[in-house]
Amino acid sequence: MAATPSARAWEVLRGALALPPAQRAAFVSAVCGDDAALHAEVTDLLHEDSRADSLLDARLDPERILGSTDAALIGSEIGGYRLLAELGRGGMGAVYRAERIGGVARHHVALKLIKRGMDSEEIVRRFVREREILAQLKHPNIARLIDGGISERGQVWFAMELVEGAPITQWCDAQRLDVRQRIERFLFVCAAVQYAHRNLIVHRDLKPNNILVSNEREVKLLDFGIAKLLDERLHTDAQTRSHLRLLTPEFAAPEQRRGDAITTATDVYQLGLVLYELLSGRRAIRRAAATTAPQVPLRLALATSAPSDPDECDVDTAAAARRTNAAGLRRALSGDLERIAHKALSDEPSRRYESVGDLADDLRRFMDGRPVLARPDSMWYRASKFVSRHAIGSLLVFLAVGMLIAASIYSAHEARIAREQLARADAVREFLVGVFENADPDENKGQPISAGQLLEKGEQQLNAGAIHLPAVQADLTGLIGSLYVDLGDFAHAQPIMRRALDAANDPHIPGDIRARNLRQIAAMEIELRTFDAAIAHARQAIALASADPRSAEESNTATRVLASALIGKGKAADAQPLLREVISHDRIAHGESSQPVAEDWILLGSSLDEIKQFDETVAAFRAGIDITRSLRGDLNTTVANGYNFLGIVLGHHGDFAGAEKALRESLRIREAVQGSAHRETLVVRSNLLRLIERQGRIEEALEGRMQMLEAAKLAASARPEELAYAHYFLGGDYNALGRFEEAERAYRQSLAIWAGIQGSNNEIDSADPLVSLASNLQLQGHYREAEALFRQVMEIAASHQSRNSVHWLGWSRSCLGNLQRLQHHYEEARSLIAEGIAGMNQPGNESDPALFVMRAELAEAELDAGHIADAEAAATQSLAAARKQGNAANLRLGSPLFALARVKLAQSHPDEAEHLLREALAVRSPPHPLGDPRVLELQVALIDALSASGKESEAAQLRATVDPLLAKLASPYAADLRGRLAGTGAKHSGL
Amino acid sequence: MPEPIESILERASHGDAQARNALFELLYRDLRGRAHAELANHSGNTLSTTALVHEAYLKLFDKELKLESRTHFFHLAARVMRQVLIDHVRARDRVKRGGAFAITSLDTTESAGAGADQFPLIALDRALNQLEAYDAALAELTELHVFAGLDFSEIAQLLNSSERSIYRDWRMARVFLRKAMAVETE
Repeated sequence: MAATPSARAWEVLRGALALPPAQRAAFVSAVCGDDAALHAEVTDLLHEDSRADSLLDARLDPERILGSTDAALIGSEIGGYRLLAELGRGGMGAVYRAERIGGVARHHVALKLIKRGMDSEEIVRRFVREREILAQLKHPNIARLIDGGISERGQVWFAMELVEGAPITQWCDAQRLDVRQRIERFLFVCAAVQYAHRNLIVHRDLKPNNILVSNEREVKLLDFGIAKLLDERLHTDAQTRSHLRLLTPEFAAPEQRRGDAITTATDVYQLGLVLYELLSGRRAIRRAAATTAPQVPLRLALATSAPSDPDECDVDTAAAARRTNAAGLRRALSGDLERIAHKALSDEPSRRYESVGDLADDLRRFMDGRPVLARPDSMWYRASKFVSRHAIGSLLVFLAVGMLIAASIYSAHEARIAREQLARADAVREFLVGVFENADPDENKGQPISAGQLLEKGEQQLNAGAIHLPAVQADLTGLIGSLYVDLGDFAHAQPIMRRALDAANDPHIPGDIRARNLRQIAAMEIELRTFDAAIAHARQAIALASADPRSAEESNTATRVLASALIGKGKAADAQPLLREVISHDRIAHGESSQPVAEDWILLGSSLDEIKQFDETVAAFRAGIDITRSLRGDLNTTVANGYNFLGIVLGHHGDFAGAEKALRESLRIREAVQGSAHRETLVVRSNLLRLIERQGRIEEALEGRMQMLEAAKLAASARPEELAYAHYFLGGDYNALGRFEEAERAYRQSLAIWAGIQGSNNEIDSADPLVSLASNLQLQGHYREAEALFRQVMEIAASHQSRNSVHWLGWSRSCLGNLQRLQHHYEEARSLIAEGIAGMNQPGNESDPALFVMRAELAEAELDAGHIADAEAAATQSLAAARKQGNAANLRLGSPLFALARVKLAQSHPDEAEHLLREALAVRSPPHPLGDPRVLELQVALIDALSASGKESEAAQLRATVDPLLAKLASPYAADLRGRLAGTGAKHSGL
Repeated sequence: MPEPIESILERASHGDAQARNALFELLYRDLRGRAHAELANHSGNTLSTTALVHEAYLKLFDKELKLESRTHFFHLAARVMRQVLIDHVRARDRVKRGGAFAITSLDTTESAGAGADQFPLIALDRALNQLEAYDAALAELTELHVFAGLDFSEIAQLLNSSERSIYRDWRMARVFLRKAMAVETE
């Protein structure tokens, strides 16, 4: 067979490898179609990929290529010991199982042979002296040094207590110890190191491979003090640099890399690394560049994200080895443990725990649930915390760095501008330093400084006049405002943005800054849904940026913001050409598979008509998702955003399974990246719950809604409107489940919150809970209050101009009409509902799902008024429209089914009525429980249909269930239903 | 005053063949010398290609290079390392077959372990040549990973790419090489 794969197969393989293993087979089948040869070739290549063959994966040591050189050593003698077998080898040397010649039989030791020879007699003497000190080190958790010396060949050797066991990390994994049990083991390690420190001996090469758990389950530390002996020897060498090679780079402390003094703090650092790996299953310092540059330790909780190193174990495996799941591990490792590990891992020795005992004490405090001493107390720590916790933090730093870089671009031609930029960069740097310095952790009682707090400090500094250059002042005002927007804190953002706007109108400020401010203001206005203002400001930003050839990128960014605003305004069609322009700009400027292009795709997807351009919409979202995933992996907000939109579109298209999958993926990412309490996470969660509700799985959704409410309560001071929504949606689930009183309470809570935010319930935001409360009261039979509320919504809708107000005006009018019908005012009902329909049936609103419900209500009003033909027309039209929505589980489908069934009963077509009623029952119950008026009305009609078609016993049986339930209801409608049932009885008895 | 090494590297990375050859020579001497010295040490300790290449870097440059130069350096070092190892194995094989090329002191010590589990370096070299003709970027990646011993994350940094896509590319390369090497040994 040919050694070279076909080009086609190669491309398919590339695509398949980009997917998770489980999806590959399906992908290959889909792409290859009928091409069996291609399919076979790709399958073969994939098989090759998965073959367990480590030949190419292991490190390529010259020795491996050229053959082992020391097999000959086995059987030879060193210092009175005979080497029996090689146990292992590392950077420092090889370890052998050895026995004392002429000693007690079977008494074996571990003999370590160090590479390189000893040089001077002085060193040899000191080595022997120190070896004796080490031999005094007697502790149950320290493998004893038995002997040591220098071989005839000039090689250093040590004989140590032979420990047969496994490195502590492997052992804990094999035993599946949980986090607490691991800490307990680790405390033994601390005790041993502490003992050595009291004897003035520093280990300086602590790592999992030097910390074994023996077959007797005892923790044993190996190689105590040996690194020091070797290090000193090497420091007298000319080759000081090669001492790095003796250390394992991933486990070297910063001072070891720098060649600074080694103290007990070095051991504290290395214990921190061991703790980190023991808890998370990951190395704190990546191998990458460990030999060339100092590395900042990864945050502990971040270690529980998806592995970035292909040979790292995945989170689920790590979590399973700790008897928990990924989320549980993440929780366990954030907070105090995180802080303890990082205090131990501080770059500066003086910032670490003062002693190993202090580290152990803090771990014990953690185990006892007491507050730990570790807390963020360094500027570096605060800064890194800030940056890693909040993407926006990096924006701050990025801005400063960006300005510094900009400042360094210098040409004679642009000297003046460059000088200005330099001054600006300095001002920004000073400002940032001030922000971090002023954020005092003591104010926080040891809690980490939040992004919000830092911003507040920044704002205070700005207000205190820390900045004297108006341009910088303007720039930072816009920046701080936009950071507040990113945090979702609009109460803070808005007044700042007003000042940013003043600056943007000031012709003395450089155009690029004015453009940026206007663009940021527009972005905020999009969040606030004041789209007209956003559109105007984005247009101004574009005009300013276009005037300056250096601001091409800003102009492009502002165009993107304008497109978003247009989408929000409902003018997606106008946004589309802009976005296509932005995409073609970004493709050239940043490349096809670049982050900006990925984000453009997602935006374009949301600008497309998801009904007419469904395929393109889905393709755009997928393109955005795929590019971002290939660039940055799936754990980022752009991917989450794309999946969220994709889920919504698929959901609207009726692909509930696909939608649910996409939304769950989005939720998983948001939770991992931003935590479960973040606003965006909650939005996705709410979308997912909405989808579950639309499928009629209300019980399942209810639980989620309750959790959402708890989350919203926590964020209530910053985002009260979300609490209002949370109550509202929870009310919806209660209402669907027939738990009317709980629903009523929830709706009233929601309204109270809106009134608190807006001063009254007369804004459009209150329309939703008002209508829902009114409908709920109607179901409970409280018609008077229901009527007042429907009228209130009509007034709100009439006094507001928006796309939604058309919906609310028509809907509330129709609801009012329906309520009139229930009170037997049929003519008034007919005209109100008809007006409602006419008002709503405008271009752009034809597909409003409320319309078919209103037509069903009209049908019932016509029927009750005696216009059977009109009723039939309305009911038929309503049902057809409802079915077109394509969701068989849609609760609202019950309305046209019931209306048409009633028409059929009136027309003496009981069989058809029965059919429709049974479908309606299936739709409504569950979630509506037995005894719910919305179920009872169907059953009453069904009894009628059954008796009319002569199914007497079935009718009687059903009636026996219905009668007592109906008797319990106090509403006037229940009385009407009882009347209908009595009428059925009368017809039935032939009267 | 001789031209600083940074400047030679800079020229080489911009396609100056003379500079490239000069660097290749320099690196070849250095890496070969130290690989042999390490292996000649009787203590039987290993020194990985990773360490050799990183040490060469540290030795030649005492400051951080800009990315372009770094990338070029590691490409070159990987290529040199490949050549050093190939040359060595070839020389050894000639000695074993009774040839007249006893070049290094290494040959007297390494024979003991030269067994069946040895790495099929010559086969890999040939497969790599095929891969180079098929997809040069993948071949370059393989050299960086296998011969310079660089991690995927290091390679990603050098090539300004993501670790994930580097790892994916490596898997592609690995599939190709395994196939090619399987054909050769059949």
